[in-house]
Amino acid sequence: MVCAIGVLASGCGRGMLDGQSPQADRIALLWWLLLSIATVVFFAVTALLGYALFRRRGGATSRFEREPRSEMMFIIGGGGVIPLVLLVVVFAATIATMAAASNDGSSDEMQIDVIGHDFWWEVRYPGQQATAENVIHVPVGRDVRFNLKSDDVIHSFWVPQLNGKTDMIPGSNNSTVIKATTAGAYQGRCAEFCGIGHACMTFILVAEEQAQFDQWIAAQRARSGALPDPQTQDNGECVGPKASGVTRPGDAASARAKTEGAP
Amino acid sequence: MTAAAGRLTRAWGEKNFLTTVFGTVDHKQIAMRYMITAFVFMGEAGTAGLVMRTQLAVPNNTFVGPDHYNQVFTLHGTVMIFLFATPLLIGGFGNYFVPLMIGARDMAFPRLNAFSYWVYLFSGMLLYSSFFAGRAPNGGWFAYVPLTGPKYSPGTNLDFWALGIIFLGISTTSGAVNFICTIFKLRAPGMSINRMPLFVWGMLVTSFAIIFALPPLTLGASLLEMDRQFGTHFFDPDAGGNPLLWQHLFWVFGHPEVYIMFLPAVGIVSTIIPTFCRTRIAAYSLLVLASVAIGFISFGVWVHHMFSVGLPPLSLAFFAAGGMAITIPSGIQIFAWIATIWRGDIVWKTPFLFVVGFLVTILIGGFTGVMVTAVPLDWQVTDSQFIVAHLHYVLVGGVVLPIFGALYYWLPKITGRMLDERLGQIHFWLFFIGFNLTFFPMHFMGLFGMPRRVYTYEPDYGLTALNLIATVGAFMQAAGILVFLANFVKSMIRGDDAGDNPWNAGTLEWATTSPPEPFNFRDVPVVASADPLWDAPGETKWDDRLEDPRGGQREAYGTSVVDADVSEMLVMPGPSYLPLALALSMAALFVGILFQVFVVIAVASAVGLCAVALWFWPEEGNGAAI
Repeated sequence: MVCAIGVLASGCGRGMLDGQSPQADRIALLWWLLLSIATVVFFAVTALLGYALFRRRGGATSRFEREPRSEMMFIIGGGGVIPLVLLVVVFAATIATMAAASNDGSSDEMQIDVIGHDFWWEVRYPGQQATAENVIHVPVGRDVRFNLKSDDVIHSFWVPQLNGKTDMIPGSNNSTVIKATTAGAYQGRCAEFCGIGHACMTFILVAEEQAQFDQWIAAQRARSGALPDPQTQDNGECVGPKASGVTRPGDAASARAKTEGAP
Repeated sequence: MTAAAGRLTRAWGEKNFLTTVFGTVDHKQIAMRYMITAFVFMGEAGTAGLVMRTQLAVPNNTFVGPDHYNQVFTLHGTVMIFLFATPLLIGGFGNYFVPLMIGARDMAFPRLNAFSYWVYLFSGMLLYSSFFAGRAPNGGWFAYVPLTGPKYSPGTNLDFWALGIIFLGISTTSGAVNFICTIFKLRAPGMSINRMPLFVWGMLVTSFAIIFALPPLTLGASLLEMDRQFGTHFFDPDAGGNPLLWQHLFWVFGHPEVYIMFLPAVGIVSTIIPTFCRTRIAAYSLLVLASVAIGFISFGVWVHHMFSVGLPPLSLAFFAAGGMAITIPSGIQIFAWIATIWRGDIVWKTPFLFVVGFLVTILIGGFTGVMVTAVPLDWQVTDSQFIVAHLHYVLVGGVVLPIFGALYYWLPKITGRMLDERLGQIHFWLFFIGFNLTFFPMHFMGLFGMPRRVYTYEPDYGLTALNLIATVGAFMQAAGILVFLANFVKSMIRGDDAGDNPWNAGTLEWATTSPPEPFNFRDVPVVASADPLWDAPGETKWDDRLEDPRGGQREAYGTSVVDADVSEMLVMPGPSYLPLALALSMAALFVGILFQVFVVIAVASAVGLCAVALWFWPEEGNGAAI
């Protein structure tokens, strides 16, 4: 979705409003719908409140005083009926968006297992003998199902530009589907408070063309697996500035340059 | 002082300094202690908030490290909710004003009331002592397992939290029982249930909500303590336990808790608006129904805290609908308030200013509330700064602004002195602008991808300016509160004399002196409407049959639940050291459990049982009747 509010554009570059997947787009659409309704209702109600507060009181009794019925109509209509109608709209939009954003994927969807650890991400590509840490590559334009688990406490898998959060809960299996429509490097992070290293538990999701992706998988298959460089120091402080510069789609090249150097 | 007042003072007043300090059962004394204690806790938790905002003022800041930061935000949330807002509203305002507003002489169970306070004080001290021991809880106010379980949180930090919460729950629950009985049985003759002030209604619904909401929390915290100390595995997935069980138990409590704070605040708003609009409240019955409806629905929305844990879509849809349904009674409330203002003739004083601020901010908190019930949108904004914005619009805008309004409104009754209007308005604008500066930008931070509960962030998120603005706003809020404290001190030194009814309000607390005598009312009001002091002269009658207490006993009328017809004569208990003794022995018991010192546990249990036995020992003549 577009960043509608120009002054805030500087911040939109990696948030949920700058979606790069059908899922994130649908959720952003729901946001704009709810924001529009909320804005209209807010100004309508504050205008009523403002009038009630500052209307000229010429000594005559108000209409509500003279006609208690009209007062009840005002309260039930404004406070009950109109919200009810709006809520039906909001609820319908919610259910529709839920179906779209949590789609079942497709028959040729790709599977990636992601396991949350204190405080890093283990990534496995089932059937391909490839693994990675704190970086996930996916082919652009393809449904990818992330099977999410945790090895210790509860974490939450979140790539704001691609979809909402899905919790990673020890003892249970959750999954979410993402289809990145634009090649690029996307910031991902843990969104559930998981302890001292929570702030630094980030990853990068790189969406790239199939050919590049295959190359990357081959490289990951060839390397010897190892624990990643820690993202946190012993006292929980983050190690160095991470992920700087890889903020926008189109920066994929720089992201690859950085991540390939890593584990 | 008339002869009658002298006799009543001898019956209801405390005999000497020691009984006043350690044995009082006067609801007003207890309420003032609640208020002062709650404000001390607010000062500490507010400071914690400033520490967080200072750390987040600029990217990659090193003011506090992650460990300290986690302790600070855990204490901030826990203390603000459990030790400030809830006790101030219920133990403070509720305790002081429910008996006065219903024309009663005290709470139904005065000794239980004293016990509630002592338990609150000691459990708060227990929770807070962890901070000074450098072992403050660091798992968030929501304490999610397995992070807070024995494996990932060794050390006593989380034991302080869990035991403190269980201990405090005893105070909150006994308080709720006390309010329900007081409101049902001690209303002035004639105050039928449809003439009860709306604040009293709010307290009644909140008390019922407490009775149903606290057990899941106590159960959850007990299971957590058993996992931590006795090696059970309720929440341990490796041994067949389930971490989600904790989340259900916590939020079955946690979401009603929001309304446990909100409903008394709403009652305050419904009290202040008619007074300063000089007209009766519009749609009284609808407002009552709205409070009751919110109380009920609040138990059907807890899952919206858990939308991203992987529950099936049908249950998500159900709880989305439940959350949205709260909008209807809330909308009725807003429009009833606007209609009252519309009809009225406005007196712009500080309490009313805070209420207008409330009306504007609660709209925003309400809208974002609907947004987080929209499941997919919640998947994006949950656990982000957007939620921090939302919850503070509800809890600061929706609860703290009415609290300040109530302080300006009711402190003259408590102290007998007015607060300064000009300082009050400075307080309001500093706090209101500061509040919006702090929390409005957080909506954008969340939309831009900044999560909650992180001690730092990178400069390239587009978040730097927003965070700096939020920090400036936080210090403005603190400045506003300092202005309030200055105002309070000034009013105590040379505030104008309040008189009985400085605002020309309609409810009974203004029918007595400021501050009220120990017995509240010399004669018992016989009520004929919802705003007795606005009635034509003579409509409210005064029953003087209790003016001469027989045998110096504390006599009060017991009235029927619905119509408030006098049904019995109650003799209320006088001061006692037993509530303090029992609370102390329980505090020792909890400390014993915390450090697993079995001698302390045994001795404290024995002393506690003795205190209970003595408490219930039948007394001849007085003290045992209710």
